[in-house]
Parts: sequence; structure tokens; C-alpha cells
Amino acid sequence: MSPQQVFYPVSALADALASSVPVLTPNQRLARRIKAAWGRHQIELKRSAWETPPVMTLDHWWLRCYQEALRAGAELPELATVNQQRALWRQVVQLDSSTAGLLRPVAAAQLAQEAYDNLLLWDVEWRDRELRQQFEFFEDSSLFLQWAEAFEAGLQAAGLTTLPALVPALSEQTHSARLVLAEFAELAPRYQHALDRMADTLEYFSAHDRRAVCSRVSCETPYEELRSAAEWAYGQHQSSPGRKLAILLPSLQQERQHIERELRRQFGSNPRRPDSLPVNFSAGQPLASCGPVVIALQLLRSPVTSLSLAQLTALCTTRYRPRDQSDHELSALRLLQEQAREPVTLAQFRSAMLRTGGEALAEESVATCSLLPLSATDPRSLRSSRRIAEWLPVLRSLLTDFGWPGPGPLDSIEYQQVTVFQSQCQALLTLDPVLGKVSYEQAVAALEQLCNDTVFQAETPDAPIQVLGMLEAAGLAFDAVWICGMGAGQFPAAASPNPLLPVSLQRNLRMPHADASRELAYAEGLLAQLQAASDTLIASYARSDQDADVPPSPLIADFIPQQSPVNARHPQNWLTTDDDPLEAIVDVCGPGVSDDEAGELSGGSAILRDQAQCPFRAFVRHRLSAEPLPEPEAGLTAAERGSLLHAALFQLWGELQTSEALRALTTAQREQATAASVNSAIAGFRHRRNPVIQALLDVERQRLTTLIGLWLEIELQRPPFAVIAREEKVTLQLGSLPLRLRLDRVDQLAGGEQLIIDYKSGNSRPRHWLGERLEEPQLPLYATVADEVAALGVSFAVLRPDALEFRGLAALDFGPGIDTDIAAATAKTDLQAKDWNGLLEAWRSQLEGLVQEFLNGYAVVNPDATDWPSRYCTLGAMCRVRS
Amino acid sequence: MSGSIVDQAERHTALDPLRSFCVTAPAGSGKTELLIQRYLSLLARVQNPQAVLAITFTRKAATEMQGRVVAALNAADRELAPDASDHERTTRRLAQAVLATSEREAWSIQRNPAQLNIRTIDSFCGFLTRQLPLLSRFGGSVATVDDASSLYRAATEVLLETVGQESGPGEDLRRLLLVFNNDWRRLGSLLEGMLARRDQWLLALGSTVEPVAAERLVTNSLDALIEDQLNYAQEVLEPWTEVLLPLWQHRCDALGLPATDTWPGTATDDLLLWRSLAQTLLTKDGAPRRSVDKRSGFAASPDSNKAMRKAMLELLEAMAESGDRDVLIEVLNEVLALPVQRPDDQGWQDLLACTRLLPTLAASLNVIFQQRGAVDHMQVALAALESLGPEETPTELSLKLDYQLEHILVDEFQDTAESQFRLIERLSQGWSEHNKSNPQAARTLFIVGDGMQSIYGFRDADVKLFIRAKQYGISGVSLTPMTLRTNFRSRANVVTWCNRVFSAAFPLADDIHRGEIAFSPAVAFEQKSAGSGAEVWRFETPIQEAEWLAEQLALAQAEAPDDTKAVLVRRKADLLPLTESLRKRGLEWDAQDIDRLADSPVVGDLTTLCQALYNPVDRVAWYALLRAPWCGLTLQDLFAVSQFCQGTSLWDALITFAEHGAPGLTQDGGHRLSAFIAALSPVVSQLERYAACDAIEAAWIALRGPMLAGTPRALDDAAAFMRMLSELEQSAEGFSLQRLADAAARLFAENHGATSQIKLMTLHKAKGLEFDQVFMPNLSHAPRGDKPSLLLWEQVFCRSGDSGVLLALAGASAGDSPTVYDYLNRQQRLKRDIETTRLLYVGATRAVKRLILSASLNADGNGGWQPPARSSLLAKIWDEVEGDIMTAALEPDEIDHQDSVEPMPLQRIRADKLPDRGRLTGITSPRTDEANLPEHISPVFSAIGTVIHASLERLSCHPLPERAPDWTGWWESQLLSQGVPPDEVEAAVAEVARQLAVTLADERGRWCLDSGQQQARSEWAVSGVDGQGEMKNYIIDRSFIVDDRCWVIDYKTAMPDPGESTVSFLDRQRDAYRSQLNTYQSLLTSLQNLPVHTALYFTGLAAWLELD
Ligand code: SF4
Repeated sequence: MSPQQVFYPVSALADALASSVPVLTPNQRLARRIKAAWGRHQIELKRSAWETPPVMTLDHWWLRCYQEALRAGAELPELATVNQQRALWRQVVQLDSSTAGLLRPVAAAQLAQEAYDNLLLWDVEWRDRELRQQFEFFEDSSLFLQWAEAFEAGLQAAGLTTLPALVPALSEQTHSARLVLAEFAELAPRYQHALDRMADTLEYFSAHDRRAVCSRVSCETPYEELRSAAEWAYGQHQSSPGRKLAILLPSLQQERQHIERELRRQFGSNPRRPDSLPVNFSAGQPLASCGPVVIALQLLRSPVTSLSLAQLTALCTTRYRPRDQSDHELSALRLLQEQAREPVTLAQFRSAMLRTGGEALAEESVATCSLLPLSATDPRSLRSSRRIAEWLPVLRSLLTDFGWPGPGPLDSIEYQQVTVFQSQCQALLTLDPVLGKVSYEQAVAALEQLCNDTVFQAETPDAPIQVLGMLEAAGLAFDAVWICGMGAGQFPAAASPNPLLPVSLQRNLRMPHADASRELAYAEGLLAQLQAASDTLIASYARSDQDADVPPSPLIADFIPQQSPVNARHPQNWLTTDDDPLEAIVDVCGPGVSDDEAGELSGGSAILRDQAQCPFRAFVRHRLSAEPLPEPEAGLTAAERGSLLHAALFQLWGELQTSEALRALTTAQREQATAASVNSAIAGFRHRRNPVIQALLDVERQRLTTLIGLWLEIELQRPPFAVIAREEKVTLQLGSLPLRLRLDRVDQLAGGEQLIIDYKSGNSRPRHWLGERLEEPQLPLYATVADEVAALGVSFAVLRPDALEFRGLAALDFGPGIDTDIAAATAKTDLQAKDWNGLLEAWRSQLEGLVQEFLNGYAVVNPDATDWPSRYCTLGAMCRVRS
Repeated sequence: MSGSIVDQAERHTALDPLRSFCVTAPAGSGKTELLIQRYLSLLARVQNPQAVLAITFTRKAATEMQGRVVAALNAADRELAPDASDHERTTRRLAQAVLATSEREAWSIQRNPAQLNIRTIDSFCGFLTRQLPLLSRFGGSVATVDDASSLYRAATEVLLETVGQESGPGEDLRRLLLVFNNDWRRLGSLLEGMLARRDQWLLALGSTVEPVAAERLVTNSLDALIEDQLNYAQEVLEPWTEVLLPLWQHRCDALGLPATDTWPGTATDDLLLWRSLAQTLLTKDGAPRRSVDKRSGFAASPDSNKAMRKAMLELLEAMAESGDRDVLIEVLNEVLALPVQRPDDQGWQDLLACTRLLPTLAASLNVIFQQRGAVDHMQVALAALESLGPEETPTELSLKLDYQLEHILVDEFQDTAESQFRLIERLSQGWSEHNKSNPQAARTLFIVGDGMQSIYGFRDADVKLFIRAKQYGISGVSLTPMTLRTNFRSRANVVTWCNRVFSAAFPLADDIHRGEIAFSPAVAFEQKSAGSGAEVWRFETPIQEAEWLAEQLALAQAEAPDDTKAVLVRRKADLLPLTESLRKRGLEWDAQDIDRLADSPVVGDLTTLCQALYNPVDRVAWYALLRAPWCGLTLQDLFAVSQFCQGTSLWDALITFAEHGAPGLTQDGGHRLSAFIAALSPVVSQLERYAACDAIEAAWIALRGPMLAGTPRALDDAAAFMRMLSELEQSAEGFSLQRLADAAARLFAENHGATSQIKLMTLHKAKGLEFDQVFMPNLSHAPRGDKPSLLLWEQVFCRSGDSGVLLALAGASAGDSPTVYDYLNRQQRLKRDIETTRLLYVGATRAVKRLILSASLNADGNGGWQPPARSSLLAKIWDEVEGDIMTAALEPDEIDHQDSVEPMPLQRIRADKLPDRGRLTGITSPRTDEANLPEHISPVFSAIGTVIHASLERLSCHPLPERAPDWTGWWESQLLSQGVPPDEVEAAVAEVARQLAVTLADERGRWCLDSGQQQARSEWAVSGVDGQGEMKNYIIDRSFIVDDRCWVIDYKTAMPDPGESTVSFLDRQRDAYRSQLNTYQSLLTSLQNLPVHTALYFTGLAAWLELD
């Protein structure tokens, strides 16, 4: 330890420390610093060993008294741990039916706990009748009284007590000749009395008598404020590494990440190597948010809850679990993402795994997949009510089955996190007397709470720069202090009395935050203390709050104004000097399609549709096989509904065969046939059979039945026809490109004339066939290329509740909606066909052009980002059309 | 001073602390100063500064008002300048009074301005919920999210869970799904929209949230609306009824329509009769009839009809000439627009289903709030309202807060929403009674607003509330209406222009039912009128217009560089041509909230980076990374990659690919790929170890993202993105790709040129600001009519002051009898129309010196212009400005129409700039020598050891008992608290007892524990310096002095392994602890100056092991 890191001038306390007089401090940090300073002092005196002086926080002092009393044979109840108290308060709040449905019972429990502790610490006799009336005047505080009683009853039942409750008794039983209270700004009345009673002499001590030079800095935004502080600390440290510096943040908990990041940017240090940053933080992060713990908790929840796709992705790819070597997990994940289903369960993940890859292989990888341990697949075993002690082994073995925390290696932070997590699992046991029998879910929730309450902080060596909350600086000495958040309105803060206690009571007793005057006194005291304990004090504030100007706090009004030291808008490592790093090349053509590749393409008419709409898109989807992922969907997707419609019509026309058969049916028969076809389509729907989907399928049944019922009316308006093909798979060859198509339907009139039909639930129109490029090539493709048929017409069959009609083009009359005046229809288009044959000709040449483009690898980006394909296309990140 | 304040007297009256006011404060009327003065005058009269509550619309306004109050207080001590104006003097006098009170009441107000109760309504609601954690049902402070869309979505998904239920919500939901084509995504998003505006229906539903009540609500609202309208129609028609009744009867007779003997009533059931009445007077398209014939029921023959026909024509003529003509036509048309409900309609049933579903939907949202521990702002407002208790038995807020709210000031009241109105109502409940008995300590309300500037209808602000307050007061406290007339902002010629144009564009009188506000003219304070005032310019195309405008701005910049110049538009897109033109001229501008962050290319790349890193199976994102500037693979190379990398995770495959020498890749591609892999792999391989924000930043830097971003502007965008990311990670809901996308879509790029005097913004943003010169281009643009929404709902206000909620689903329109949907659709159209005028007013009144309006219009061929489309801004004032339009002499458009499609080039890093290995990123490759997995150690042994140690310490303080004490209770609790499973406690206790018994039965053991030993110490804390010079603390189990020799004893509770002999066990232990005991020895030697002996004592074995 270097001599610079002495944060306390210890010489004035030497006499007490040398004679082992207990020195009590307001916080742990100060106690540690005094002990360290004392040690440094000893070393300077050339001593190599000395008795550790009894410097401790006040709370530790009470614990020591407690232990001593026990040793002396006193009969004292056991002290409830912090976790036990919290758990008990939460239970009290949760069991109170009058507050059922509280949004944050945990927060209420915390308020209650604080209120209760304050009542004790301020010696409020809340059982006193008159006082009770004050409480009962108000709903929230009278409820609180009931909670307090329930809490005490709970404590008693478990044979426990709390420290504040015990202190008066302790002060009777222990006695001390001399006690030193170092750097206490204030002391709760109960502790004050107790100390007075137990010590012959009580000395108050403060070592600080400096007079800091004070200045103030205004920054544009809170972010800039943090960066300024970081930059300042860096500069100070660089110029003189020995300086003891502090950065004080009023809400350190929220800002810790930001300030740490800014400091790291300054010092260029790696986040995983806390020792690479000469800084100590007085705040950590909740254990529950630490990498391995997040995964552990998620794993433990997974057998009983469903997961979002994002959560499943995290579980599949985490390093805190054995990595799947066979790619099956990722394939299953990919499958689920493609199907866009959310939420998913582990069972669904399992069947997805079985569906990907070859049977035997899949079986095997399911068996070895650590996400699917056998014990987790039987949810029944997790439903019973048991004691924590019985659940703990279950939790442990599940984690082992899941392979948590993975094969390692863990870095030192992870190692610490895993260790702390394991000790928290252990600590769960201490909640047993409070919680009693619980379900698996509750046990996991309790563990999660515990991990949320536990602050994790990676171990770091003592460092010269301290980042502290306002309270934690108490008593320490620094060369220079930077204090943030000194804007008007923030400092002094507005009063915030505990809402569960009568405000007047808090004000009269001067409880913390009770009223404005107390906040002012506190703020003034804090500043005075900092001024006395440092040579330089810089107060900063962010001057703009949503464009409005914030003045500095009146308490720093007479500090010397200073320029903000920030000299760059961006972090240093973002700034580069290169002015021309880019080149622009024309790259519109990929390699041509080889015959082998062509033989394996499976895109069908979608290839040409994409090529027509945007060649780049065609290249990505069909040459690179990169398919954009759809958004997760809880209901039936449009594609699913579409295929149900197709399936129902397939069935129906399979039964009917001809329009005359349809005409021959009575209304009732027709309804029956429709219903039967819809039913069989729905029966064939194999995806995710969960209750929600089941119900949605019922709705779909109703919808399709109505829709098809109406549609048949349209069909009846057409000249008699026979359906000669349904859902027929056809392979065509265009140039050297084989195209696999599936035709929805082909109708044939009495004279043998054929009409090709494509069912659509969207808004397709013939103009999509008549543009400069063929946006809907499917039917034209079939009409022009297929040898088997000589189609004389093509038509969309639009089946939407708001539009039920044929929309087509044909050489002769196939019925309403199918336009036979080809010349008129194409007059204002790029095609300008005179008749049907002309149209076919035009299409053919368009199609051939598209095929050629595609085969050549032509992949230009559709130049307009506002074009309609781009509005629905999710490949924007790849084609960069928007930049 | 140059002007005069025509409404000085009113402004003075408004400071009367005993009266309540409703102040109409048109643009530029100096209302903030008035608010501050009133605030000060009230502050001086109360005992607690918080008793005066001032509510502003935005946080910015609150901060500003606070600042100005503080400044006024601080200035009160100082001398005034001799030329100070009257109102400066007034402010000073008021501030001095406050300081006197502060002194008397010991507020220290200047040192502690946090006591000033000046806030936004959101902040006040938050305050209430925190102060009333149980009544508000929040439980404590709750995270509030600005963008709650993910919460809404989750809530609808909870609702969807019920879809399978036989009856109740399940049944209703299925019904709705059918209406929406079983498209859950669509229905779900509509329901999300309803949640976002749930205050409207939730408040109307009240606390009885059950389906039946909801159904009743809609039915009742409909009845109330119809009755209200009919009553109003009755009132308007009153003078005509006598004549009209027989004519109507005659017509019905003739056409075989039902009629009644007497004038119809005004109940819902009478609506059909009223329709027939209205149709008697109006033609099919709603125009007043001018003639009648057989088809309209007044055939010319037979003669018996003649009289009736004549009477009818006379009536029509009389009506046409009456002064009430317009009102009559309007009211009759409104009667015809009223929905004709039919309980047996499918549509009506669907509507009821939807209504019944609402309570369940709201409940689902609560479930989500609870799960996530976060709420939206609206919930805070609703909870605050709820915490104040029901109207009949309100919460005793004053007791709770420890002070009584005595005065409330509300700014921008025209933008108040229903929930806020109710809150103010509740806060002021009982004040009117109080004031009756305490006229000298009256509690007051002071609301300030301007209906002419109510433009937040889309956010549910409702100007009707302002009218209601003005007319009916609030909670029985009546408000003295007052209208400010002085305009301190604009020069006289601008004011005159506005007065002329807008007095015609606004309606003549306020109308609460329609939410219409009449115009109140202003008088300019500043009579000097330099400059041209207002001008209207016309162009042929928007491009021309933009060019001209840019030219004007350049000129203005040159002539008056210090003037602020604002270009105000309705939609952001209106600015596009202008920014082009400005850029061409090299002019800088300051655009607020115009560019979406998500559209910035650098943010696009960063988003893709997130998508790829956090979803390894997203192949598109990975390919996009390979194509992005930092790698820039060509199509050919991408294809080669795809040929090789068939696996699910592209990254894994890429690594193998590279290891195989990247077959098929060009040499350049190979370089690029390996640089890419090298840059990214330290991040990818330890992604989870870092916060997303750190990981992304490191990856971006490694890929040379900052260099490629190029401009400082792009770096700003990147910084904003990083901040967003880190805020997401800290938020209650945490980081996810979905949330990232949502958040990015909501954020705007930061203000890049805040220093420029040219400001571009939307009219909505400009509200409350002023600029020397204001330009409003593109006024002829007609917004595309909103697609008819499938679901409409609206709060309806009756002239009686009652209100209700109506909602409707789109469906087949039932011929000419309007459905609820038709009615609401019409209402919304009207509302939009009214707001358009106000929007124009807001824009025009921003101007101090100069106001330039412009539009692109076609010539009409007669030397005039074709009028603009009805929904355009210009249409609202067309009649007034048509004559003054000016035309600029311009060159014809010089846009090159060469439409040759240049393919977009691929922008990528030059090969020689590729990132090399080892660039500083803050993240380094993982080390492989890291610590291994921690063993899970059973806590039982260590707990037993701890308990034995504590017991030994306890024993050593007293004369030793003969036999081991039984401290079972104490042991049990110690063991449990150290994590020993309950079922192992018994065994552990037995072990503790056994070891203690062994020790106490052993002579050596007793010797160690003997409290009579000289200088005996247990658990002795000692510090020292170790070999490395580090300071260390130690605890020594036991030490004492015998015969001038100091003994140091370490207790051991370990036992030999099964099968291990005691001898070898002890050997093992000696080796294990030798160095530790040596340390103790040297420590104590230097401390005691005596020979020191060290030993281990094995409590379970009664074994003594001395070290030499
Ligand atoms: S976003 Fe537009 S340009 Fe880009 S691939 Fe899709 S369709 Fe083509």
C-alpha cells in the first residue's frame, strides 16, 4: 500500500487508538480507512506488528455488545438478518388483503421497513393511544400500524428481533469506560441515549479543519457533467498520481455505470479488469443482473414459464452453459424464430429440435441437450409445496443438469459472481423460518429477490480515486473533491418524508428528509463537512434540463465560476484524423448461376418476383439464402391463415369438381360442404396446438366458412367450368433456370379453354402484371411457359371480406372481373399488347429478361428507398438503400 | 418604453389574491409574467410555500418559471434601475413581500428554492403517488417509462390468453377477432392504441370496472348525447314549432311516415321522429329546401293540399331569411348525423362486445405493470386521481401533506386532458364552501389558457374542458373570466394582419359541444412597425417555393444576422425540399426533432451490429455487417461466403471458413474478411461479459466505425445511440433487440447546429416560442386523409356539462341512417378541421417582426388562383388573403430531369485502412489462464467450525464448567443462519456438542480455555506487515502467557478422513498450517517481546500439536 492512499489524518486519534478505546464510525468505509491510516502510522514508527484497534461502525459495535451479552449468558432473542427482515416485511405486505393488487409490494415493504426502523430509532412509542390516533387519522399510516404489528408478531413467532429493538437492553448489559464517536454528523436518538447510558465518557471527534478552495462548473447536460468529472479526475491523477480524489454523485446507484464508463474511456481500461482503473466505487450492481446469475435465474425459471424468443436466444447462445456442438440447438432456435412464434416453452423447443436435422441425430442431440434436462421436463414434480430446504437441492441439481455455469474458464469477475450466487443460494435457507412451505416458482422468486437485494462488487485494491454517494464521503479527507448534481432544486433536495408516518410527527422529531428546513440543514452541513475535509472542492451542475436553463444551487452561488474542463464533444478514442477512408465502387453483379446451383434453387416464382421488384433482394434471398426474420406473432400469421384458406378451397373443389355440381347443391348442402372442407383444412393444421391457437382456429373456422360461403356466390356467376387442377406442383424450365411452382387452380370451360387462378388474401391487381417489370410473375409464367396447358386467361381470386372478386385478364369471357379487352387494359402500360397473344409475347420477353438477369447474377439495388417494395422489405440493412 | 398596455387594469385585477380567474391569454400576451406576479402575490400570504401550486404544461416551462421566480426574489434586494417599467416595479414589490414572509416563517426561501411548488402535472401526480403509496396502489415509487408500447403489447397478449374461454372476455374477443378478419396483429395494435388513451374510457367507467357497467356506459353516453342534441335542437326550433308541427304531420301523412299528434319529445326514442322533422326542412344533402313537391310530401294537388304547400313554402322562406339561418341548418344536420342505434344489429353487438372487453383489457395492463414494476405516465395520473379518494369521501390531503393546498395556478389550460381536469377538480374540492365562510382567506384557482392555441387534440387535450371551466367554474369555485389583449410580442402590422385574418377564420362564439373557440383580437404593445409585416406568396411548384424561401433566408441572414428566423411546417416532410436548397447555399440550420435517429446511417449500422451480435442466427444481419463500410465485401465475395457457410450461425462458420483459407474469396475479400474477424472476435467471444453498450462501442471502434462515420454529426448520432443503449440497459425492462428498435424509432437526432439563427421545426414544436421572422411554407399542402380508422372512440360532452364515452367499430354503413361509427367519424373530421385553423394561428403568432406565408398554387386561368384543398392550412384563411397574394418573378425550375438510374455505389473502407489486430478497443482477447469453476463447498463443516470457535470463546471468558454446556438453542440458530440445511442441523449440533465435550474432558483443552491464564485473549485482532510490505489483519484464536512464554493457539475442528490414521492426519495438518503459525509467531514476537510458542489444538480429537 502506498502512503498516498491514507484518507484520514489519524494522529489526533492516536491516543484512543493506541489504548484500544473503541472508535465508532458512521460507515464501514471510514472504519477501514482509519484502521489503514493507523497501520500506516505504525509502519512509519517502524513497527511490524500491532494490535488491530477496535474501530468499527456503530452497528458493528452493537453486534459486538450483543455477542458479549450472549457470552455473558444473557437470554436474548436472535437477531433477524437483513434478508429475513425484508422477507418478513414482504410477506406482511403481501398477505394483507386490503392492499392486494399493489403495483410494487416490494417497494411498500421497504417503505414500511424504513418507517418502522425510524420509529424505533427515534423512540416513538407508537403503541401509545394518543399517538396511534395520529396514525389512524390517515389511511396509509393506519394500515402501516397493522403491518408493524403483523411484523412484530412474525418476528416473535420466529424467535427473532431487530437491532434497534434490542439496543436499549444491550446498553443496560454492557458498559464501556470510554467511547469515541468519529465524524458523526447526526445520531438517532435511541442510539444516542444508549451510548450515553453505557459509556462513562463519550467523545465526539472530527479530524478535519481544512478550508477548501471552492469553485463551480456548469456543464451542458448531465452526461457532459459526468464526462467533465471523469476528465478532471484523469487529469489530476496523471499530473500527480498520489492525489486523493473523490467524485461525489447524488444518485450514484443510477449513475454508476455512466461514470464508470467515462472513467474507463479516460483511462483506457478494460471493463473486465477493475484493477486497470485506479478507482474505487462505493456502489455495485445487483447480483441478479450479473451475467452468469441472469442465466442461472432464467434457467431455473424455464421449466415453469414460457420464454420470449429473445430469452430463448440468450439461453441457447450463453457461455454459461455447455456449448452445443451439433448445431441442433441453433437450428431449432432459427426454426422458432422463422415461425415467429412467441412465447415458447422448453417443450416447444424440444419438438423444434426433433424437427430439424435427421431423425436419429436429432433424437440424440435432444437427449444430450443440456437445456432439456430430464428433471425439468416433468413439471408435476415442481408443482408441490415444500420447504426451502427441500427445494434447494432441486435448484442445485437443476443448475447442474443445465450445465451451469458452463465449461469455463470463468474470468475473475465471473468467478466472484458465481461464488456469491452460490452463497446466496445457501442464504436462501435462512428465509425458511419466515417463508414456510412454498412452490417451486416461489422458491425461485425468493432466490431472485435475494439476488436483486444483493449488491455485487468486484474486488479491487484500494485506489486513490473514490467515486462515492453523498453519504459515503462522510469523515474522509481528500486532496480534491468534485461533487455533481449541484443545480438549483436538486440541492437542497425537496423534502420527502416517509409516506407511511404522519408528516407532523416526522417534522417534530426531525426525522430524515422530513421537511424543507431539515433538507437545507443537511445540505449545508454536507458542504461544510466537505469544505473542511479537502483542499479543493468543485461543484458541478448540468445547466440544461430539456432546453430550459437551470441555475446553480443557491448554496454554491458564491463559489468561483470555472470553465468546464471538457474539451471534446466525443470520447478521445472516437476521434481519428483520417479524412478519406472510404472508396466507392460499383458492385451490381455477383457471379452467374451455375447449372448445379440452378438445379438446387427452390424459390419458384418468388425468384422472378424478387428479381422484378428488386434484383438485390433476389440475390440475397435466393443466392445467399438469407431470409429476413419475421416479427414474433402471438396469433395466427397471415401466412398461416392464407394456407388454411388454400387448403379449404382445395378440399372443396376436390369434392365439387365442377361449377354445375356446385349449382346443384341446396343451400344446406352447400353450407355443409363448405363446413366440411374448412374443418378438414383446420384438422390438417399442425403447428403449435396450444389453447390460444386452438381458440383462434375456431375463429378461423367461422371466418373461413362465411368467407367461402360468400365466395361461392361469385363462382356461380361464371360460365360453367370444371376444376382440372388444384395445388398442382409444376416444374418449368426457363432458359437454364428450373422453376418449381405450385398452381392454386386451373379451370376449364366446356370448350376446353383454361383459366389459371391464384388465390389472394391481399390486394393484388392485374396492373401488377402490366408494369415495366413483372411484379407478380407467377401466373404469366405459367401461362407462357407451361406446355401442358394453353391458358387463355389468368386471374387472381381475391378473397377478402371487403373484396370478393376475380381480377384477371383473358382472351375470352371467363366471368365477371376478368377483363377480356386486353388492348384497353394494356393501353396505358409499358406493354401495349393488342390481344392475349400479344400479352403472352410481352410477358415471355419480360420473363426471359428477368431470368437472364438472375442467372447473370445481376443484383442492382432498387434505387428508391420510398418505393413500395422497400417499405415492406426488411433487407434495408444489407442493401443500404437508405444511406 | 414605447407602447401602452391597454389591459393594464385587468392585469392588476388578476393579482387579487381573493378571487379566482380564468384568463384567456392569446399569443404574446405576456402571461408568464402575469403568472409569476400572481404566484408571488399568493406566496406572500401563505404559511407554507408549498400551499401555492403552479402547474405548467412542460418541464421546461416549470424550470423556467422557477428560475424566474428565484431571480425575482434575488433581485428584490437590489435597487431598481431608474427606467424600470411598471410591471418590473410590481414584480419587485410582490417579491419583497414574499421575502418578508419567508423571514417571518423561516422558510429560507432563497437558499432553498426546492420549496417552490412549481411543477408539471405529471410531476405533481408522481409526487402524490409517492406520498400516498397505498391509496394510489403503487406501493412506492415506480419507474415511469416514456414509451409504454411494449407494456401495452404485453397487456394485449395477456388478454389474448383468455380467447379460449367459453364465455365472458373470451367470447367477446372471438367476436372482435371475426370483425378483424382474425388478424390478431391488427386487432392487437388497435387495442394497444386504446390502452394508450385509456384515461378517456377508464375514467368514464369509474371504479366499477365490470363488463356490464362498460356496456351500460356506452349505452348511456349515447342516450345522453342524443337527448342533449335534441334538447338543443328543440331550443333552436322553438320559435318555429307551432308552424312546423302541422306541416310535418301533413308530410308524414302524405308519405306514409309515422308522426305524433304533439311535438316530439327529446328522448332517444324520439330520434326517428326528429329525423323526419329535419328531413322535412332539409334536402338529401343537408341543404335547406327551397321548394317542395310531391316527393317531399307537398303535392300541388289536390287543392286541399294547396294551403299546406303554401304554408310550407312560407316557412322555408321565413327560415331562409331569419338571422338564425346558419344555426338552424347546422342543428338540423346534426340531428341527421346522430347515430340511430339498433340493438339487433350485428354492428351494435360487436360494439358492445368491444365495450365489455375494455375492463379486462385494463386489468391485463395492470398485471403487466405489476410484473414489470413500471408504468406509463397515464397510470401515474390515474393513480394520483384514485389516491385522492372518491368524490363523496375525499382523502384528507392536507393532513397527509402537513399543509393545505390553498391556491392552484394552471398554465396552458387549453391543453388539459380529462384526467388532469379531474385532478384539479378533486384538489379544489370543498373550496367554494370554505370561501363562503372565510372570504378573507379565500382559496383560489387561476387558470390561464388560450383556446385558439389548442392543437394537441391528437394527444387528447380537450379544449372543451377550458370552455367548461370558464362557463361552469371548477368544483363550484366560479372563475372570473378575463381576456388579455395586449400583444407584447408582435409588431403592430403583424398583429393587425392576424386580427383581420383570424377573426374571420375563427367561429363567432365558443361552443362546448363542438369544442369551438371564438377569436379574441389583440392590441400591439410595440407600435413601431418596421418591416413589411405579413405577406403571402405564391409559387408554381414546391421546388420553386423552397428555392425562393432559401433565398429569402439567405438575404435575411445577411441583412439581420441577429434575428431569429423560423421555418414552421405542419409535417416534417414539408421541410425536405427546403433543406436541399439550404444545403446548396451552404446555410447552416438548427432542426429540432426533425431527423429520426433511426434514419441516420451510422445508427443503422450500429443497430445491425446489435442485431448480429445478440442474435447469432440472424443471417441477414450478419451479411449486412459483411456488406457494411467497415468490411465491404462484394457480391461475389458474399456469394463465396454463402457457399461455404451453410451452418446456422454465420459467425461460427466464418471462422472455420477463414481457417480453411477462405476458398473462393478474392484476395481483397480475404483481407477484408480476416480483418473483420480479427476486429470482432474479442467482442463476440466474450459478449456476455460486457454491458451491451460497452460491447457495441468496443466492436464499433475495433471496426473503425468512428473513422468511417466521418462527420461530427454522425458521431453525435452514434453517441446518442450509445446513450440510448445504456439507458435501455438500466431501465426496468432491460435491453432487448425489440426494445432497441422501438426506442430508436422514437428518438430524434440531436440538434446539430444549435447556434444557427435559422430554425426549422414543426408548428407543434414552435408553440410557446417566438422568432423575429417566421416563414410558413407549403400552406397549400393537403394532408392525405387519414385512413378511416377501424375503431373510433371519443369523449362526448353535452351542453349540460355531462360527458361520456362513445366508441365504434367500422362496419357496413346502414344506408342513410348513420351508425355510431359514422357519427364519430364526422366528429373527428370536424375536430381536425377546427384544429387546422388553430395551427395556422399558432404559427402566425410566433412572429415578432415579419411573417411570410407561402404556397404552391395553380393558376385558375382568369388571372387568379385555384383555391387550395379544403384540408390545407391556407384554405382556412383563403377568403381573407386571396386578394393580397404576391408572386415572385422566378426562373423556371432548373431541375435536371435526367432520369438515368445510376446504380448506388458500394461505400466501403479502403483496403489500406482496414483495421489491424490489436487496435485499442478496451476489450482484449480472452485470457485462457483464468480461474476455474468455483467448487461448491458444503457449508456444514465451516459452520460447525465457526460455532465451535464461538463456543470456545464464550467458555474462555468464565470459570470453566465441569462438563460441556448445552447451548443447543444458540447453536441451532447459529448453524441455521450460516446456511446449514434444517435437516442437518441436529447432526451438526451433535458434532458441536461432541467436540466441546471432548475438549472439556481434556486437560490440555481445559488449560487452553482457562480464564485464569495470564493476559489471556480470545479472538485477538492483530495487524502487521507481511513479506511484501502489505498490511494484513489477523485473528488469533487464543493467546496467553505462562512462565514468561507467550502461547499462540489455533483451534482446529477438522477430523481425519475416513481410514486416515491420526498420525498422518496430524502430519498433514502441521504442514498445512506451518507457515500461518510462523506468521503468528513473528507477529507476536515483535508485539510482546517474549518467546512465542505456537500450537494447534484439535478440539474433536483432544490432540495438541506444538510447532517448533
Ligand atoms: S429494402 Fe428495397 S432496395 Fe433494399 S433489398 Fe429491399 S427492396 Fe431492395
